Order: sequence, then structure tokens, then C-alpha cells
Amino acid sequence: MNETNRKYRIWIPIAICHLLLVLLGASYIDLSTLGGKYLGYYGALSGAGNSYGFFAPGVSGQLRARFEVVDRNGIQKEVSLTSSASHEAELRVGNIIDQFAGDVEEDEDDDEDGSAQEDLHRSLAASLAGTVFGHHPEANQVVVQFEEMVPVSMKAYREGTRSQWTSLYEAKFIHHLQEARR
Amino acid sequence: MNSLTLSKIKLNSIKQIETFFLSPASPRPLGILRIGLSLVLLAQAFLIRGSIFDFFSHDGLVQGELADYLSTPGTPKISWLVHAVAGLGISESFCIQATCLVYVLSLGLLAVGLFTRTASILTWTLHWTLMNTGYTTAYGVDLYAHVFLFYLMWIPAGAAFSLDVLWGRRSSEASTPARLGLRVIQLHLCITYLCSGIEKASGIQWWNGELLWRALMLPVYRQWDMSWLAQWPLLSKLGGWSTLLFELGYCVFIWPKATRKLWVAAIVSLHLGIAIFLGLGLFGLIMCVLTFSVFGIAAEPRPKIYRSTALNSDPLFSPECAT
Repeated sequence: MNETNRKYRIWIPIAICHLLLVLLGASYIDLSTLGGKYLGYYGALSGAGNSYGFFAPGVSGQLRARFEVVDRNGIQKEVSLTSSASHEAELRVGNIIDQFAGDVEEDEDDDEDGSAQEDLHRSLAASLAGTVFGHHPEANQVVVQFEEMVPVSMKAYREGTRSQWTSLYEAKFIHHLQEARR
Repeated sequence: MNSLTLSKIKLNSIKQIETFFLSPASPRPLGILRIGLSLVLLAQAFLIRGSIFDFFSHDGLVQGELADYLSTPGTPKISWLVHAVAGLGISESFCIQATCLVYVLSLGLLAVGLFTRTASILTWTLHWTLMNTGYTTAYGVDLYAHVFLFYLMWIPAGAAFSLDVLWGRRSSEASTPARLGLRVIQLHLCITYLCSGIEKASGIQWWNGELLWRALMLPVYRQWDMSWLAQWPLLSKLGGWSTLLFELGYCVFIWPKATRKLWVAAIVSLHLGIAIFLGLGLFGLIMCVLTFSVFGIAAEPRPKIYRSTALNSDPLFSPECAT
């Protein structure tokens, strides 16, 4: 070990500490709970707080959101949320829709009557409906539906059962200005 | 065992640890990592270019307070910039476009290795800002990019395959920082695969073949009609088992020379499979880049075959090679 290398010795314990944090983060240990908000911030900043359980421990199902626009003449049509051309953009929109499920589970402990979950669902639906109103100025109302599909098992599929979309949540949003013009 | 033997063992262990972390390494794996990561992120930027206002604006798909509620508090967002320049009459849409443009330019500089250190700091900062702004849209590719862009700021990623080297702005010699950076990245990857493998192995779906089947049947990932797989459950099981083997075995079999190439090939195949069959192209590519660059590219210093008076001594960029 020459002199040049010796001056880097100090980085070894630093690197090991960082990797220990990576290990804790990957084991779903919240760094801010463990070491306060500064450690939590370091975890977010460096990515050491990330977990890596993609497709783990299993795949449950898929959520989707459907949007129905009703114009001032009462004509209904189903529209899509974005006009994005790429699959990458569609995956990202799918992640937004997934917030509907993820945050329900996380909020359950703190929210026994479920009102916070309901608020979150309503806010998410309202946010998405706002985008649809923006894309369809003729809309008088927008109906947002969240649906879920849970794939059937291989055995069930062989026996003829097929996966279906089931409705989880529906909300109607009315454009007050449009309503007033009627 | 007497105290002399114990202290000898201790000294030997320390020496081995120092050699593991500090023996000079070629920066070539880091150069390949830098280029691969930049290209994947440039491709990502190109693919979502039409949706930037949907993902990043206050009135986008996830609006205002809801976006703040669902994101990590205290992390940089484009709204910080918008508030900072609001007094100058600069609009939010201009801020978003400017941020995205500078991000793409910094990625370009990072890819070619020009002003690499500055470009890596700028890229990491802007990537994190965009990721936090569109927090609800982020997924695996963003998480990994954030982690490895962070490392690029610290390591000599511009010391190989870069314009900085070509123009003599920096040396491409084997160095201790290159080894240290490489080791941290390699160990980080081992941790991610181990934890991911353990979590997968804790679920029944990876053992009974249901995982691959379900993932392939979900509309979001469905690229082709794979319903025939229901008639061949063993195939799906083998897919699940081999994934567990490759991920759980990563931190062991990626190190010995005898198994390294096999494991790199297996992991690259696994992620190419994810890219092709589940449509997770960018995620698959970034994972291939990570393992291929830091384990698939030799880091041992090359023997010096000539002496150059310039800082540039990478044979790949030497005048001799150019002719």
C-alpha cells in the first residue's frame, strides 16, 4: 500500500457505513425512524433508503381508471386520460393510478374510520378529473371509475375461468360553470 | 492462539480489506457505466417528452397539494424554482421546459464525458428534482438511476471513454478512487439483488410459477398473448426458480472469475427478458448496464505499453490507436 493509497483509507469506513445504510434501506428499515430526519434525508438524497422489492413477494393485480365525459347535451363518451404515444409514459400514468391502492394500505393504521382514505381517493379522482376537464372543455361532467383486475391462476385458467375488471370506486365531478350556462 | 498470531491475522485482514477497496483499478467499467446510464436516461427523456406537463406541472395529472402530499417532503421540486422566479414574470411552463432542456443537455455532456464532474452533479440534481416533482410517476428505473447518478458524482467516471480524456483534460490511469467507487457500486448491486431475491423467495408465487404467469397476463405488462403458458406450468415455474437462483446467487457467484461471466450473462438475459416480455424496456436496459459495466468489464490495470507525455494515456484514445 503506497502513500497515495493511504490517504484514501478514511473512505473505507465511510463507504462501509453508506453500504450499511443501503442494506437497512433495502430491508425496509426507515432510515428517518432509525436515525432522525437527517439520516432520512441522506437516504433520500443518496438513494440509500430505497428498497428493491420489484414483483416481490408476488403480483396482486392491476388498477385502471376509466373516464366518462358527459357534455351539455347529455352525450356520453369514454375518453383516455392522456394522449401519450409511448409505452413508457403509459407505465408512468399507471403508477399514478396505483396510488389509489398503495396509500389506502399505508393510511389504514392511522385512520380507523377510513375518512382519510376516502379523502385521498376523492382527491386523486378529482385531480384526474381536472385533467380530463382540461382536455375536454365541452365536458359538463366527468365520471371517474377505478377498476381492478386480479389475474386468475393457471389452474383456474385451464378450467375456463377468465380475469375480469371489477369496480372499486366511482365518483362524478360536475363543472359548475358549464352547469350554470345550461 | 497467542496475541502475536491474533495481531498478525488482524493486520492481514486490514491489508486484504485495503487491497479490496484501494488497489488501483482501471476506470473503464465506470466509463461504460456513465455512458450506458446516460443513454438510457436520454432514451427515457425522449419517450416521455410529450407528457412533461402532465407529469411535472402544478395542474398536471396529480395536482397541487395532492402531489406534495404524495411526495417526499423537503426534497427539491420544480415548484421551488417556479416560486423563486415568479417575481420575474417567468411562467411555470417555461421553468419546466428549461429544467428538462438543461437536464437533457447535462445528460448529453455526461454521455460524451465532457466536463464530466460538473455534468454529473447537474444531471443528478435535475434528475432528483424531476423525480420528486413527478414522484407518483416514478418507478424502478428512476430509483436505480437516482442511486447510480449519485455515485457518478463521486467516482472518476470521466476518466475513460470520454472527451475529457481525449482532449487531455484528465488522466485515464488506473487509480484508487476508481477501485473504491467500483467496489461500492458492486457491493450496492449485491445488496439490491440479495434483498430482492430474499423478498421474492418469501412469496409462494415465485415458487409455484404463478408470478410469471400473472405478470405476463396483466394488461399493463402484456406484450404478446402468453395464455398458452397455462398449459405449461413447469415452464413458468422454471422461470421463477431461475430468477431466484440468479438473484440470490448474485452476491456469491458474481465475484469468482470462474462464474462471473456466467452470472453476468444470466443477469443480462434475465433483464432483457423483462424488457422484451413485460415491456419494461428502460428498466431492463438500466439493469443490464449496471451489471455489465461493473462486473462485465475488466477493471485490472492494463500493462503500460508506451509512455505518453500528455495526461492522456488510455490506449483506446491514444494517437497510435487513432491511426
